[in-house]
Amino acid sequence: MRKGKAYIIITVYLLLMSLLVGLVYLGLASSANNVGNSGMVQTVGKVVFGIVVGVEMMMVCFVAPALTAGAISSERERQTYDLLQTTLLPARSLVLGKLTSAISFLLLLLVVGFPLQSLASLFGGVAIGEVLVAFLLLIVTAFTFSAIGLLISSLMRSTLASTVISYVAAIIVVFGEPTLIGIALSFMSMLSGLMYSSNFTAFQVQILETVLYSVGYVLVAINPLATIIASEVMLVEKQTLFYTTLPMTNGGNFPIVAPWIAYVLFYGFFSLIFIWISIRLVRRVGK
Amino acid sequence: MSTIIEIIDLSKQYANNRIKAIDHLSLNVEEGDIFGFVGPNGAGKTSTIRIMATLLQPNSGDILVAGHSALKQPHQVRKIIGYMPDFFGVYNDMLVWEYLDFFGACYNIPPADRNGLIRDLLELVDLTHRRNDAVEGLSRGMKQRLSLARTLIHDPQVLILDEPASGLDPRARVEIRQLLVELARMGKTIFFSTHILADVAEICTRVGIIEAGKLVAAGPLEELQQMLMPHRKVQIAVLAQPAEAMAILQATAGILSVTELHSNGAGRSRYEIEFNGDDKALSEILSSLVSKGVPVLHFSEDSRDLEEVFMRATKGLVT
Repeated sequence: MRKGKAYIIITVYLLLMSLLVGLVYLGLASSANNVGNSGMVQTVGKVVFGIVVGVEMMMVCFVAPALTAGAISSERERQTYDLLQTTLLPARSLVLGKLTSAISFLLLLLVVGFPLQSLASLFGGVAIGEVLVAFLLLIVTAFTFSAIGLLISSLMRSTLASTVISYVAAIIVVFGEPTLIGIALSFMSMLSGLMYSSNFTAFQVQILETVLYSVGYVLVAINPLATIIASEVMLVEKQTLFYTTLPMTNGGNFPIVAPWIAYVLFYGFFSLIFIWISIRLVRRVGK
Repeated sequence: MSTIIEIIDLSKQYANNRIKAIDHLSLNVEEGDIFGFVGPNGAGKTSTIRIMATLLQPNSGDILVAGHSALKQPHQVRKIIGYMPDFFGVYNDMLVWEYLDFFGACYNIPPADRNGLIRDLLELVDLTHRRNDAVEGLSRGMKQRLSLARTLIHDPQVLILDEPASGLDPRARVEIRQLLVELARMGKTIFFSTHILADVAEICTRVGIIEAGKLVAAGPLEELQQMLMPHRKVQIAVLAQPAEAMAILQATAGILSVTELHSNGAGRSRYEIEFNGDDKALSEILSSLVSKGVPVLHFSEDSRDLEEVFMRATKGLVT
């Protein structure tokens, strides 16, 4: 990142995001005749905020692996790995140092996006809670995808192979899961049709609904984009950021905590596991 | 002098190879030694060095460095050793001083102490004038000297160097050799692998010859020469009186044969003698020639001796 590479990346990233936000704003403004309408202005604020967070999330998902996929394997390639291993530098410091370096750069990219996010606050319609949850999700995602890259880098000898595998993992998490969600949703609608047309007992329907809600919830809570959208929907429709219920056929309620909480716990836990394995791999003496 | 490196019945076999890279190797290195670890390619030198540097696990046996096990106490061993591999690991865009500063940090040297340390090390390896240059831009010899400075950053007791002179031009090789002698004078024990026999002859106090993972000979060079080549070859040139010289040589006890290599017909002659005796007996031959008025022009042991020691000790086996 020396010789100004970081400046170029930041400049290009901000230019592209500004362009996107500008186009969206112009599109909304030209389609809305009632500029003075405060509800419309708030919608513009929400849309701008959603776009900025969405772009940042995609950026984090696909820049983080690039920053860490070569972290350990490149040390092997440039033949500095042995030199580091014979120093007093603990494996823990090496791995955490690489992780801190990647997350610091991602944090910088998120921080430089603040002025664009603050445009949304200018229009209104975005609560401070939303901003904080979005930032937390971005940080946890940065942590997770950096940890995935780091783990694969610790396993592989070649940076090229490590980068390819890290990106395959990122693509599966970001795009593979929505496909699963789509399949699950069609399966759920098919099954609910079956439930109402069949002679299921009330208890059987309750069990099936519980299973379907649970599967749907897990699928949403392990995908970054789905989590953001579901948490936002929950905020708009239920006016809460933490806990709500979903109606069941028997008149009861299915309780759920906000998907972002499950997302943070799930990926936070696995990131720690990935980092722990990476440290073990780096500590390993050649056999 | 006490033993600082103790290789105890060391064996290593790689998973993908049926033959042992190291086969029950035992060896001691004394404090203050410049120990030359000699052997053909594939003899097991690098494997032994990597185990010593805590980078590789043996199948059996151990290496103790200043009493610490490379296997069980790698952290303690790393404090004592400075390791230089047979390649130069380089970070892109790093300057010479930054390279040393980075490794200084890896050895937990406080930032306040590093500046002076880097200055002293660069002076030692004669790279002060390249302090602010990119490491990538250094010549191979300079990189090797910088690498040596890196191994010294935490002031280790023992230097473990894998082929330090390999791939260097003659001048760079001499410079590295001089540096090693200087470091030995500073009290460091130096264990280095090489297949350049001239380096061994020039600077080593003790030598170990390894072949097919087994130690075939170890000890001071003179002892090895006596053990493996009981007959020393000495070349003598005289300016005049060749007949007297020949008579003295033939009458001296311990001289097995005298061969006249060259004569210009005007008295100037060159002989090769095969001699069975120690250095004292050898010096007495020279005294005897001089005291009897023979003008001796040249008197030296054949420099090819070391190659012969090596050839006699090894059988040309490669694992």
